Amino acid sequence: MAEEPRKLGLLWAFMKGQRLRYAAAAGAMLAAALVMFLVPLIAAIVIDYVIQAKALRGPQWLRKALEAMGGRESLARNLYLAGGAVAALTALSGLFTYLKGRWSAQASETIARRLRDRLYEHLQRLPCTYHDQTSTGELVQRCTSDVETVRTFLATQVVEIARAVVMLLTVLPFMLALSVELTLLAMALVPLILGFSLVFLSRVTKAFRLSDESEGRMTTLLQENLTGIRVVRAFARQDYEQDRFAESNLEFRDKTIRLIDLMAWYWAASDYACHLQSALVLIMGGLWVIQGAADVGVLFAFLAYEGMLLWPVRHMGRLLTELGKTRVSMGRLWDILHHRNERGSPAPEVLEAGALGERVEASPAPGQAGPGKDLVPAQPLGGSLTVRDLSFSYDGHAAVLDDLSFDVPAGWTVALMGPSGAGKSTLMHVLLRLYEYHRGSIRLDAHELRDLDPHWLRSQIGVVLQEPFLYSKTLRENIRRSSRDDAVVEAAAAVAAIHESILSFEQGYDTLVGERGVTLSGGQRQRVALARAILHDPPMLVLDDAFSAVDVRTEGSILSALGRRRGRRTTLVIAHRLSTLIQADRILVLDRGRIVQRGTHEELLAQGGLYGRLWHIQSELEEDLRQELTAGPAGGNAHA
Amino acid sequence: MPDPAVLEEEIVARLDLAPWKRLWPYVLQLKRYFIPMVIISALTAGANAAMYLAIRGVIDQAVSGSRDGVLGYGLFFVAVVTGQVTCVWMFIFLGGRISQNIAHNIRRDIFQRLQDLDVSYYDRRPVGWLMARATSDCQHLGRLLAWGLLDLSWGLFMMAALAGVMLYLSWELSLIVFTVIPPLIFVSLKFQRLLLHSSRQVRKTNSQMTGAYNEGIAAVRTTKTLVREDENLREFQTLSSAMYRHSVRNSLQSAMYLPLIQTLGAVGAGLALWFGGLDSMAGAVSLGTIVLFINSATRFFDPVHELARVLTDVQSAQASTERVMGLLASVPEIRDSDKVRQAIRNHERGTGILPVRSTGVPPVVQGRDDLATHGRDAHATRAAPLAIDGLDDRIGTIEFRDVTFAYKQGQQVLEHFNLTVQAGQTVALVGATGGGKTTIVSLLCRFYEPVQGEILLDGVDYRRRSLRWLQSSLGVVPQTPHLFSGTIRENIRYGRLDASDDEVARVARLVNAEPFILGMDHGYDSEVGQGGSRLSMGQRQLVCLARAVLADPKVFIMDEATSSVDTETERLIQDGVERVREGRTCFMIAHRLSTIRSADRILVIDGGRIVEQGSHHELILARGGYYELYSNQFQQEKRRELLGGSPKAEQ
Repeated sequence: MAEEPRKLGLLWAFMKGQRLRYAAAAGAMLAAALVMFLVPLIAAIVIDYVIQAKALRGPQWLRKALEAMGGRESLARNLYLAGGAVAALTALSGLFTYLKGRWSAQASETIARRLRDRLYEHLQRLPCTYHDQTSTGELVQRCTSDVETVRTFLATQVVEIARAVVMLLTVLPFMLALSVELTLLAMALVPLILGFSLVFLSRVTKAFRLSDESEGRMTTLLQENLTGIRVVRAFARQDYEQDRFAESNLEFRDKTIRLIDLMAWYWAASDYACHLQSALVLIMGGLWVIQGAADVGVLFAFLAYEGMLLWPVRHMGRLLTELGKTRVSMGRLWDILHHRNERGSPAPEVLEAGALGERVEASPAPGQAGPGKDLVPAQPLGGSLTVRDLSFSYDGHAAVLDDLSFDVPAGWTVALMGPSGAGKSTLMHVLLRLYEYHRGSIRLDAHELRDLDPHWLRSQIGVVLQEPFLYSKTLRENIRRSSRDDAVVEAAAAVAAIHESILSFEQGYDTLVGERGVTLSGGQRQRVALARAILHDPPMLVLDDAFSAVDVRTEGSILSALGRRRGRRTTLVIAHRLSTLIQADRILVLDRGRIVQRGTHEELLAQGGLYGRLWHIQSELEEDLRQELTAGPAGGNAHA
Repeated sequence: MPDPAVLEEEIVARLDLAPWKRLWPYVLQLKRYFIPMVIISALTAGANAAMYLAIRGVIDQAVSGSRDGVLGYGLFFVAVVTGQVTCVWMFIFLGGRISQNIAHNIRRDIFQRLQDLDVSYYDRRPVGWLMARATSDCQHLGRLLAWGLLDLSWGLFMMAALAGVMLYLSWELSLIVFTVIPPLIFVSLKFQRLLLHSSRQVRKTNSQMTGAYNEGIAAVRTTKTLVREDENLREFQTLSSAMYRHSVRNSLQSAMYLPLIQTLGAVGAGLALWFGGLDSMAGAVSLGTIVLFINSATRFFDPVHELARVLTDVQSAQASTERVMGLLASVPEIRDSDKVRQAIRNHERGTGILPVRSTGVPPVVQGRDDLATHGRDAHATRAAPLAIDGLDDRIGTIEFRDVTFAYKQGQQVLEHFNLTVQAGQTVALVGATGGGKTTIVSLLCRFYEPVQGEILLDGVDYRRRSLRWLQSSLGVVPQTPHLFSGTIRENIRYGRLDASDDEVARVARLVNAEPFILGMDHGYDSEVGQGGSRLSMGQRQLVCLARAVLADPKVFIMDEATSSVDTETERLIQDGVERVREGRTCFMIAHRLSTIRSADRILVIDGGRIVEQGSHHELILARGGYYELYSNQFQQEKRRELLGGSPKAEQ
């Protein structure tokens, strides 16, 4: 049970600022209930005092009040007053009910919004190591359906808890005041109903899970069939597929019917218990009326109160199940929120909840971002880079970068190449502080990288990642970042050789990217990302295989456009095309986390190695073609 | 493509009965549940009314001091509630069966229809859209027909029963109390509609928010490198604030609705108290009757509320009914013609008994039909095995004759395309993306049919042959290997359902898949996971290959994968393909040098035409487009060998 305070404590922390509103909502509900209790009372008075002309058994003040109104005769003459009072009191109670609904809606929606905003913010600020370990679908699921579970609980159940308490606190005194015996009678079956609904709901939950699972299997089958429809056709397996689906469809139907049958028992049985409770009051009350121990009006009022009381009681079972679900959901959200963000702190609400429950663990896990020193230099970045003895590993064991040392003087263009898995992209990520390095040193200008504020650092470096992400916004919004100047946007697009393509779209820069707009080709995406990266003319540019999908000619024009800033901007580029590599001031060849070759194009050619072999593909091709051309028709594969 | 989110949110202004009528057969099928349901809802309403009568009886008997009377009516009350809960149990029981059977039956028919609809139908609709029809729409319709009908009939009977009892006891008092009903109906309808609109708004915003989370998480690296966190959060907050507004509006509407109709009920109760009290003092009605009137007036909103809800539900389900019924009414354009179906029937009837006539077609199909002549021309041998449509089971020469094709009108992908492939030839299709390679293969599979021109199998237009025969004669290996959840064995056996375990193992060996399969925990019985997710890309390709080979196809069609596979697996696949090709006509959409070089014929496809063709040697000599294509491919493959990594990026 050590988990419990933490989960619900987190919910409590999120409720901050809304707790008063909830209290007000509970107050309104109390008021509504109190007013509502008067209604049967009025009817009771009319029945006993006015119509039956009996002496009133109620409290002293009530008798006095009625005397003051002119007593029985006057009331009998003006019976519309009673009818009007019933309507007016119900309306007044309705007003309070509305206020309760309003306040609890505002409170629960405010909390839900805060929860959603906090999750979104925290997820963005969590380090990449976190995102590497989680799947997007799973996270989205938590942010939507788990938040929805919590929201439903806040919107409907929190008030219900209050209602149950309010009812017990208000109905009981009323009933006791009217008749102690009848009250005991009216409560006789309540424990039974409560216990029954608790036991039953746990069984329903199980049946629900079974139905849910079979639905999942059916959905999977359906989806695989629909996505693989060409395979189904190609093997003419329509009948087979139908048989398989029929089986699964049937299973889902039967499991769900089982669930509903269970519900039928539940509803019928709990209805029956409630009705029997009423019957008890009705019969015993009737007999007491005959004995003169109670009045008809009182009996009527009791029956009405019984109705008010039984519903919340019957609801208790559901409330407890909902509470259980909410705890599970809050636990899943806690899982996200307690992780430390890039600045080393969990979500503030977690810290707050930690004071209630157990303490949040003190030190960050290995590989996870620790608190940086957040230095923001006064000068913009110069661009010289010094890497010494840098080692890095994602999991603390297998070294992805192994003892790297190299220098990049300000204004140089340095190219990195090597087989996939050599650590090129990792090096770029470490440089951007997407991952923290723990061994060796990276100095940018005179600063150790881990002392710099990561946001400042990234704002100084233009980056195009290997698979650049474009937001589902317009092209302009994708490129412009904080700039409002269209001319700047278009200039950047021109350098990235995407301006013309953008203009060729019907809506130009206002074209939406993504599902609701155009689908860009890989090369177009890369060029838009490049335009975005160079918009602010950053002192340093990092291109991670950024031209891989751009054709060679376009790449050439981009490179020459970028070349105009040559010498003033430090550029790190991962590339495999010789045309790109050849233009670099220095080339580093990486293999398995180490620099295996370094130098200019000519130097590397002379060394042979991977670089040399790459270069010689050209001559291999020439050799292959020469053989094909000189051989007779028999040398190739003869045409059948 | 239509955006599913937009389609879901159509709001129908008026009720159209036409789509609902098409649901009628589904209702008729379940009349054994529907009829008792209506009867039971009437009984429930009767029991509800009887409960009020019992209470009235107890009170009146108590006032008159009759002990037996109180006990009698009390027991009557117990009997009535016993009957009532039995009814509740029964209608939930029946409602469950109705809702689930309706959903099940519609879903079954949708699935069946989807198996027959053209591939082009799938092109126009995202899988998610189709899924929604077969899942949520079906459930929705099932719920609506079961519980909606229950609420509707219960509501009507309840109103009738209450009104009947009240009118019987005192028609004057009844008429007075009934004055609250019209405003009750008006308010209910009005608010149900408001609630419908605002809850739709909530759902729409919610799906936008899901999209925002998705993007926010998928883009997390890009966001960090652009230092865009704050701006993203601001944008998200606009969305979450909109969600707040819509949700609160929705809640406020329901917070207002309930007190309003309760107050209206209280006005009725007040009227009953006032006029009933006067009547009672005059001795016209009993105390119990007043209590009954008060109770009835306060409960009257229940049936009214339910009726209004059902009406709105029907209205909101209109769009999904139309979509479901529209899907069920769609007819595949590509299917066996009447003549082919007739031929299949005749063949089934005549198998083994009726020697097929010299024409190879049953007499019914003869006459003006020139199919017979084609058949005769193509095959002199009569001893050949017969296909299910009574024609030759073998596939020899395949000819595309003057084929023109367009996915969308006016956008020709193929134009006057001609190609003849002899039996046993391997044809490699190469060329840039979008040139029409996949289209050629899809046309051959008859996933689509030519807009103009014809595709001839041994001289017979394939539209005159059975679709199932053709498709089961082809062995297709798609570019993205698609597997179904289940074991490896089940996936391979998909190629031929009656294959023995030995045969499965034999093809797995043939395509070099056995080593990896035996290396898995449960060998052939290892689960492949959803969509094959537990296997690597290369392993999936091997399983697909085995599956195709098991079918022992007459024509082998392979769309070579462009995704990267480790060199070892790559070699295994190559080797396996090589063995499969022996003795078969093959169409390869080729990306690998070895495949291209070993083909009998290479077709360079561009802009829907064959721009070059010949053997590798001939085409290199020609120094045309193929020469360049080959040079590029050569360098890419070599570079990939050196560097590994992403070949798709090199296009």
